[in-house]
Amino acid sequence: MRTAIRRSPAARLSARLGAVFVEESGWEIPASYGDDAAERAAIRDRVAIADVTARAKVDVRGRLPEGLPLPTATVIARISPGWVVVFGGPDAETRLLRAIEPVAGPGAMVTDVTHLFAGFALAGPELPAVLERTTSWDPTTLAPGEATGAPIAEVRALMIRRDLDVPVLEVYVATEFARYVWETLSGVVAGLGGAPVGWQALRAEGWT
Amino acid sequence: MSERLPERQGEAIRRDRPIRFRFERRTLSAFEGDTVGSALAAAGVSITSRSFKYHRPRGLHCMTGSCPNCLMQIDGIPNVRACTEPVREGMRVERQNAWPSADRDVHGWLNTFSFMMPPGFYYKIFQRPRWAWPFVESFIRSKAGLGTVPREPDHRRRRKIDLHPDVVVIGAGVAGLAAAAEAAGAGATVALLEQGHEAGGHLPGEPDAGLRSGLWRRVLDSGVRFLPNTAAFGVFAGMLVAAAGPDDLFRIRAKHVIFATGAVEQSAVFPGNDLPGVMVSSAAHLLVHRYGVLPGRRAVVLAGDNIAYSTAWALRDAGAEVTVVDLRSEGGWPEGFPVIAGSTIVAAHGRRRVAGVTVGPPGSTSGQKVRCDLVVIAAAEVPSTNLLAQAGARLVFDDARQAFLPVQMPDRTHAVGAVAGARTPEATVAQGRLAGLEAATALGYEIDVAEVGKLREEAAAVGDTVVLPPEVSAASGKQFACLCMDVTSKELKTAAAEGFDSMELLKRYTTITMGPCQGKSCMLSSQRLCGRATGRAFAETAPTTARPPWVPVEMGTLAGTRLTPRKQTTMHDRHAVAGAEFMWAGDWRRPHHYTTPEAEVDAVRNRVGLIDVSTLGKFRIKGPQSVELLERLYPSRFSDLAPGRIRYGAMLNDEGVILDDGAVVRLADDEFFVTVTTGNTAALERWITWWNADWQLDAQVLNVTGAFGAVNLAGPRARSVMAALTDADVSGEALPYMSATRMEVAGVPSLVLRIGFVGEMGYEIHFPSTYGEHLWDAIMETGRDGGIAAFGLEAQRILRLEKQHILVGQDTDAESDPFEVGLGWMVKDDKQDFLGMRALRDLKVREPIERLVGFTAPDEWLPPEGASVVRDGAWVGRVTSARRSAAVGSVIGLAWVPADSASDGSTFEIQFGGSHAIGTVRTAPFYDPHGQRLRS
Repeated sequence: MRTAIRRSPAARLSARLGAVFVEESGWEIPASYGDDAAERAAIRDRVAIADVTARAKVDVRGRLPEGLPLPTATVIARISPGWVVVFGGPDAETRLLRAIEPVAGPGAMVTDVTHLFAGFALAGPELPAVLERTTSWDPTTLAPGEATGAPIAEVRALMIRRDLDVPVLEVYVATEFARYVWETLSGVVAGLGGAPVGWQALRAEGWT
Repeated sequence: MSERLPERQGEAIRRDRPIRFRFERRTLSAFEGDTVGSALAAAGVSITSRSFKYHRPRGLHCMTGSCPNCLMQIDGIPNVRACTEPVREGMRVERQNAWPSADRDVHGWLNTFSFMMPPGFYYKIFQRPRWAWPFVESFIRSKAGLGTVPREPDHRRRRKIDLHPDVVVIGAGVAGLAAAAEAAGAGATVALLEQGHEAGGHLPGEPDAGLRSGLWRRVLDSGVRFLPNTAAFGVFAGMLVAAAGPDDLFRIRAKHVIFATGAVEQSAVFPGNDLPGVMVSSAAHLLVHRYGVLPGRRAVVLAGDNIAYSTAWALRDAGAEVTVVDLRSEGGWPEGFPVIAGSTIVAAHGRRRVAGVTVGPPGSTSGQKVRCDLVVIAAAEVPSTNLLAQAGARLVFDDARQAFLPVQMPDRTHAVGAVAGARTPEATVAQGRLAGLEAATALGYEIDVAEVGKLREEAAAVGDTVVLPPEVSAASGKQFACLCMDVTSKELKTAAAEGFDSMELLKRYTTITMGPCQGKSCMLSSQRLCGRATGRAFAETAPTTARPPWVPVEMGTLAGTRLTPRKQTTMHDRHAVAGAEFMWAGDWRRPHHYTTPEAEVDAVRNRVGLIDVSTLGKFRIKGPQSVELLERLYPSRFSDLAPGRIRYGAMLNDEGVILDDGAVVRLADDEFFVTVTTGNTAALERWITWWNADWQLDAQVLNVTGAFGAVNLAGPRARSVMAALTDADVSGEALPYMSATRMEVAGVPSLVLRIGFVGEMGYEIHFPSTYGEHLWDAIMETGRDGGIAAFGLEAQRILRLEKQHILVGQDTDAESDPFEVGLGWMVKDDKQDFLGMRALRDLKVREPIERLVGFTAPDEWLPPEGASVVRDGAWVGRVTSARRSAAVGSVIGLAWVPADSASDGSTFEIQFGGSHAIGTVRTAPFYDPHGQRLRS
């Protein structure tokens, strides 16, 4: 029997756009779309979209203390005082759970939501134009490093601002909407002269 | 007659780029930069339309899109304003509301019989004989309306765009440009809307384009986002500005809104004031300066102040012979023209175009005759306050400007330029700059404070006092107050005498200000004539209530891009590859069938089937009081449910009505996994979290629907397939019916429930959803030798119906309680409390009036869901589910029947359309009534 492999719900749609997949930590991730230089240019000069569903995600309902010793490349999205979502690299959920559960406090609920959310990173100077066409939310209200809940393409989403040299917004939606949101966002990105990009190009531009 | 002028400095047309277009049966020439209106004027076309009601000839009037006179059918689209529509190569232009042509319209007889058609005439005439009304109404309707709606569907792609600038400026005339440049220069993000295709507006008294081009350069240099061809049409709650572009709907939520919407020139009221060749000064200016067209050779200009003389000069410099009729009696007017002072236009004369005017003191019925082919009214304008009023501005009458001006603006809004009463270029620019600076300051940007004092002085400059023309001429003849709806001054007077004695009543009865211009070009005359008819001064007659849309908006623009969120499981592609026919189940796409429902049912009953049930709602409930939460939400008991066990639960509302049903799995002492129906997940999430918050229980609730994919493996061979997929013991002893355990299935960590909806031995496997394709492939591959088949929703419905498993929402409705549907066994009313308990105690002691029962019926006719259950010809119930069952050999179904017909073996009549059948009640499941296969 084949080894169990995890895939983003939008993987088949990415494949149709030319995504090249590699296996990483039990996931098939879209590493590139065949032209690394063009992908990096899309990030720097126009706008790009990448499927980052493979990121580990842990939902904490309750209080998460500051300064926890967590693996590198962890991103903590504090949505509200009683709700935090912690993001890590592929397959990091077990380590995150082990680090968070003991300190989350009585009454807190810590859940592996890696599979609850599909994620897409939008990056590039034309990112505001993508958002104008897909959400009524005001992105200027979100500072770098902050997170919030807002609608996108008429569905609820978590937004995390993770600027590099260019604006970067990670958008997480319920898995069941993944294909629809990917199609909608990538269509808008393409309409603005942007392109889908793989993890290779994203990482090369400093994303973790 | 109008004609093209030789090339002029500053014109907007490109004479090196000729364009040809079709105008009815002719091909005409134009230049890039022309509008259809200017091109027709250059070709000498005087009649641009026929009026709405009386089919009177009309000509270019405003050239700013503010009147109805040039509405034309262009490239199949009706009611396009030709005066502002840029001309394009190959365009097809036709005039409307005339037959066979606007030049020779046979319906001109309506003008002759206009005395029979005063406002509201259809309420008064044609009431008798009553039998004639349908024909009369049909005739009136055929004559009403403007233009022909195109039959072809409009598939243009439109978008909705949400903007959040610091400042939005509405109007890119001089004031708007100044405001935008100043705010952006201070660092604010600025969006500048302009309904025309270029910035600059129209500034009487400033024919030189240097001021405008200088401001435009500043706007470009400061990064303002300019949106041409984008008209703001409404201001909604929260200061949301809505604007329509050619293909986009803009929703703009700015921190500050600057209204620079300008003013609209108004005509004067006198006999013949609607003749082709009578226009306002903006039309004359634009035709001469922008489009290089002389609108007439012999012009009479009606002036109310010195600014009007700029129009006279413009026409004279272009080669026209000009006479000025000045409303003012005393001097100070510029030289260079014959001026008839202290006079007004008593009447205009002509048939298909103005040929002359009678001029005399106000109040006279006769006077000096002046021959002309052009009359320009440069004596009145009305600030465009509609959007400000929508925003909540308070308007008060200003005597010096003879207009209603904003005196109190809502927070974070500003009014500048002509809309605020500015009458000089200096005041216009100063007001714009000041508003831009004030907005920037309020937003925290730094400005040059020293400028502000100087600008305030300049902004307050009043300019000439305005002298308005008389409300109406004393001469006889039709004098139009409203060009759109053909309403005359006499008709307004009559309507007021009939009791419609306020602006709002006059508007509704006569339809004045309700036409295509929406009051832009007739509000002044309407207010003054209303006041005159009702004995009120102009200052006491406020404009009508402002409502959106202020400009016409295409329905397609309001609809925008159709974003239809859809949910799909992680196995969706596998279903597609397997040939699934998809259907909507709520907002999910689900396989209806793959081969045929009958073949799929057969596979499940005799071999093994696999269905994707990922759409089930799933909740994780954890915490010290999670049991208490469930005890209160459900009528069932869960405190005695052991970890690893499952119990069926139906949630009720506080009236005891069934909301939903599903499985409750106890994972640990303080942790549960709950499933609910697909379509109810969002509502139940709200329901559960609301009650949890209200009761303040120490329990956390998380909707994990998308986190877990789920499949149901069911059939006599399900166990052998399952055994090949896992090392865990899946025997009946190790994993009995209604138990749950965690195990790896095909290497995927899963929660496996021994549960079944389809009545066969089965496993419901819940797993991290991103393993979906892997798991589906593994199960299908492993089950191939055993004849596994994927089955869809239709097969599932047949299978569950054979077991009489209900579907909440289909078999139940908003009044169904557990006793009526045979679920009374699950109600534990000895519990302390639960939602619906009080209602159920009351219901329990009463006999139900009706019950949900299973039934069989002959195979010949399948009653549709919703078919009636009748007794003695009266409706007494309905069929909720019905299918043909191969296993049972007949039609089977569920139906609501009177309680006295609900015992096993009772019969009842089913009817639908002309068909009927006799149903026989079966209280036990049709298939495997004792559940042996399910529990094996």
